[in-house]
Order: sequence, then C-alpha cells, then structure tokens
Amino acid sequence: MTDNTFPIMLVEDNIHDVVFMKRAWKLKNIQHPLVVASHGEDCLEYLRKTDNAAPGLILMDIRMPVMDGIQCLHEIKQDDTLAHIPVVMLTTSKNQEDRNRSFAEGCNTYIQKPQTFEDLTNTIEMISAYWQLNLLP
Amino acid sequence: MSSQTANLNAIAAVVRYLETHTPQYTVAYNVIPEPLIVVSTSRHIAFVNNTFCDYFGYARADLIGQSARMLYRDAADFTRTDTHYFNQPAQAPNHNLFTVTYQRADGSYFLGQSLPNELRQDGNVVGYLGVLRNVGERVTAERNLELASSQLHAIFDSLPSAMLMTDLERNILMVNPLLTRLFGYSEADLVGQSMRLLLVDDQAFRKLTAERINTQVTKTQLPYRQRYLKQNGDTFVGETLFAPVQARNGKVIGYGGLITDITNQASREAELAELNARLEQSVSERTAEVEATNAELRDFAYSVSHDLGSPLRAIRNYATFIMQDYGAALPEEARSFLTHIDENAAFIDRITQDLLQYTRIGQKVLTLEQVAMKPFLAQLIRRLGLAQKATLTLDIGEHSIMADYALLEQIFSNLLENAVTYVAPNTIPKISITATERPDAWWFSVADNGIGIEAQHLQRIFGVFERLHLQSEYPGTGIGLAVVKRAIEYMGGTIQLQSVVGEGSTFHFSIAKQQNSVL
Repeated sequence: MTDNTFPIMLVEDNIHDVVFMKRAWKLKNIQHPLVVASHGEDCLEYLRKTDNAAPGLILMDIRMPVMDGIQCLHEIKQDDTLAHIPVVMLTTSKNQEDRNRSFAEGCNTYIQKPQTFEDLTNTIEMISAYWQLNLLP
Repeated sequence: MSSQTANLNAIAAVVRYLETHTPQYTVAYNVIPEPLIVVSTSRHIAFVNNTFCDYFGYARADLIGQSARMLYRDAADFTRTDTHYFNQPAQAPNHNLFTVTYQRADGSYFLGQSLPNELRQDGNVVGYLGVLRNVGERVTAERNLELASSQLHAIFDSLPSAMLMTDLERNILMVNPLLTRLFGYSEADLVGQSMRLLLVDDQAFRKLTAERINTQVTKTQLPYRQRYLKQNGDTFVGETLFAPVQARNGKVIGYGGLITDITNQASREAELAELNARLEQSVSERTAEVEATNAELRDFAYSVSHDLGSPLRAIRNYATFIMQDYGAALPEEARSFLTHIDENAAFIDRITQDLLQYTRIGQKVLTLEQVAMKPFLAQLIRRLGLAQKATLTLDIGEHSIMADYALLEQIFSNLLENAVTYVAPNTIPKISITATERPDAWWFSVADNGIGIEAQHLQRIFGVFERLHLQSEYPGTGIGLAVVKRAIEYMGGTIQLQSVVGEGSTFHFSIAKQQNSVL
C-alpha cells in the first residue's frame, strides 16, 4: 500500500530534539520516512514544492525562528491544497494561549513535548498507531 | 445696783411698755408668722413669739431674761449689731440692715437679718422690737456669684492661652493679658471693638461669624485654624476654639474664645507632612524597585531552571544513547564516566526542578480545601514508597484541615523524604507524625531517628542551597527545607526544629486556621 509510506514531517528547530525523534523513529520501527523542516517557512517551502511527497502528518513545534509553528499552521490551513494535512502541535509550551490559538487555527491535536526519551518513544508510538488506525479502510 | 438687777429692770421697763401700748401683745405677737423678739436696752430678751421659739428651737423660758448673745454664732456679730443698731439710732428704716449668723438651740445656724424698731417712752428708748428674716439662701447665692465672678476673672487672667469674650455680634467684652500680648493691643484698645480688628480681612470675619461657631451649646466645639492680624500688621495662624456663653435661662448671650498661636507648629506640620510625603514616595519607589527586582529574580530563576531542563535532558539522553549503542564496546572506566555524566545532569535537573518549585510558591494563589489528614498521608506515603523504607507511626486522629493541597503535599513529602534520607548507614528510619489542634492553628510534628543537626546549623537549614553534608554522603539539593518553610509561611504558619545529633530531628510546624477562614 503506497499510502502507508507517506512521509511524516517534523518541524523542529532544536537539533537535539530532531536527533531524539529520529532515534525514537528507529526504535519504534516506524516505516514512514521522517522529513525535517527547521522552521515554519522551511516547512511551507517543502509543502509547496509539487514534486515533494505530501506528508500524511505534520508534527509542529511552536517556538521557532523565522516563522513559528502557529503562523505556519495558519498558512497551512489557509491554503486549500494543504489544509487537509493533519497537524499535531508538539511543543514544550504549557501556555494556554498557545494552546487556544493552535486549536483556533485548526490543529488536530496539541501534545506536550515529552520530557524523557522513553516518553518520547511512547508518544511517537501512540501517534503512529493512531494515524495507522485512521488510515484503515 | 448689780448688773443683773439692772438687766431685770431694763426688761421690766420694756415689758411695762408693751403692756401699756399693746395690752394683748402676747396674743397679738404670737399670731405673727415671723420670728419676733423684744429686747431691753441692755439687749436682754424680754419677749419672743411662738414662731421665734420654733425657729430657734428654744422654749420661751430658756430665752426670757437671757442676753441676746446666745442667738448669735459669733461674738463679733453680736458686738456688730450692738454698735450698728443700738448705739446709733437708725436714720432710715433699712439703713442698718445687715446680715449676721444666728445659732439655734441645736447648734445649727443660718444667715439672717433683723430690723430692730426702737420702742420709745417719753422720748427714751426702752427697748427694741425686731423681726428676723432668714436670708441664708439668697446670701449664699450672692456670695457664690461674687466668688464665681472673681474666680472667673482670676482664671481668665491666668489662662495659659489668649482668651476673649464677645457678645453675639462679636464685639469684644473681655480679654485676658495673654491675648493683649499676643495681638500687641492694650485691653482698652480691644474692649468694645469688633473682632474684625483681629482678623486679616472681611472674608475671614464673615467666615467666623457665619460658620465657625456652633451655637448649639450641647455640641462639642471643634478647634479650627484661623489667620489673625496683629496690631503691628504681622499675621499668624491661631488654633481657635469658640464656644457659646449661655445665660442662666439657657439663651446664648455671647461667645468665649481661646486662641493659640500655632504658626511654628503649623509650619513644622507642613514640613513634617512634606517629609512624610517624600518618605512615602521613596518608600513606594523602593518597594516598587524591590518588587520589580523580586519579580525579575523570580523570572530569572524560572527561566534558568526552565531553560536548563531541556539541555540537561539532552545530555542525559546522549549519555544513555552512547551507553546503549556503544556501551559493550567501551572500557569499564568510560562506562563509569558516562554514568557520572548522567548522575550529574540528573542532579542539576533536580536542582532546577526544586528551584522551580520554590519560585512558584511565591506566585501561587492559595487554593484552600478540606484535606482529611489520614487519607492524605496514607496516599502520600504510598506514593513515596515509604512503607518499604521506614517504620511509620501516625498519631493524627481523624482531623480535616483547610489547606492548599499541593503545598501541603510539598511540605510533607519534603519532610518525609528528608527523614528517610538523612539516617545513619544501616539504620532503619523511624518516622512518627502527629497532629494537634490548637485554637488558632493546626500543629504537626514529623520526628525521625536520623543523624540530627548540630545546634549551630539549626537556623541555616531553611535557607536556599544550604547543605550540611557532602553530596556523596547524603544526596539533596539544599532547597527542600526552604520550600517547606516557604510553603508553611504561605499558609500562615511557622516551622521550628528540635534536633539531637545522632538521635534524630523533630520538625514542628503549624498551618494557620484564621488564614484559612479568611480566604
């Protein structure tokens, strides 16, 4: 099933978080390729290049340089060609305002970034399982 | 002729006179409702009527033939009347009327006047007839008035404040020496003048007449400040108290006023007020500065501990990854180094967490709720796994207290964790917890059999980063007890520590009840 190999995009400026995510990916044996963008603009650039494989899911950090996660979310949801892509906010921010704005802009869910690596792998497994289930006919 | 014979003859003479002129005099005189007396020229009593006897309390027989001296309290009065009445014929009917003190049989006395009438026979005075009047009450009142008036003047003149009396129109009736001195006028300059003379302008005078005096006598008069004008043109601020002067019939007939020069006081007060204002301003400025600094420190502590968290976890993750991926290939020493990296990062992580906790208490809004102590502690002990680590004794009854659950949890968990941590090697920790209700607070104690704290360190241990032991001996961030103290104080309580080195420590602390009920 070709659909099952859609990439998952991680928008994250912290290289360590990227490293941990990749490791979690590997540990949990997730088949979808992980595409990384280091900030919102980077993400939009990737999405708007038609020859790039459209991600089936975007994991979006909030605090990032150049363009933050909420702005990027806004751009995605305003763009008819991109609005259908589910976006999961994955952030250290406990700020209620960030949460409210994210939902207002149309994010699918908002997840507090796990503090330990073990929790991160579990979260990734949970997200992956959820989207797998969603994709079942 | 003996004097006694002479006296008797004199009496006989006047009695003969009475019998001749008023044959029924005993009957007639007894009908008169005034005390009436007839004396001889030698002033011996020839006759008294019934009213007289009643008035003086004597039987008639006690009086007839006796010297009239017995009727006077003072010999002087007797002599005086003798001189005035009897050796100088009265020129006008009331001319010689004056008041003497009469004495009754029982020793009591009264003020009275008598008007003696000469009884003449053939041009010769044979005796006197007098009617007494009791004037005691009137005289007392007059004397009191005179006395009061002289006392008033004396008081008026000796008052330590400038004082004046005015009529209703504020014309000056009376001034005392201090007032003349204060204003630089003589008494003659002022008496009869309007008080306007002493005021700076018409407006001040109108104010004075219009509002300043409450004519309701019963009302307490309040002093007020008024600018006055001296004779030499200088002005001063006078604290002024005017009160209405009442006549006996209750009518207000004028005003009495006290004026105190408070120019110095007023300027000192103004100075003081300015100083106070400046002080207040600088205090509030400083307070704002301190608050800002505190807030900055809090933010700093928060962001430091917050921002440190993520790189610390990264360090730990990398150490773990190396261990997981390459551990088997590494020499033993390298693996122990990796363990040290992880342990140190973990320790810094704990410090930052504790610091976060500490800084958050100050920002926290108390959420008070009923906390049933028994289930609360049971749950906490379970969560901390204390039952496996220590022998616990709980003597806390079935009390429920009003407290912030999260703070209470922090207090107890920090104290209990300390109790199991600071024990001598190979000792099973023993912890006992008690609760006591007092009128104003709940008191708890947490006692352990730990290593104890030396007396000189008792004060230090509640400070931030105060550690008494090597990290290798006893782990800890040195913030735990600071958190405890701060949380307790935040709930209106205090904490004390008793400790014996080698035997154990007991923390006593309170949670205020009043604070709870207020919030």
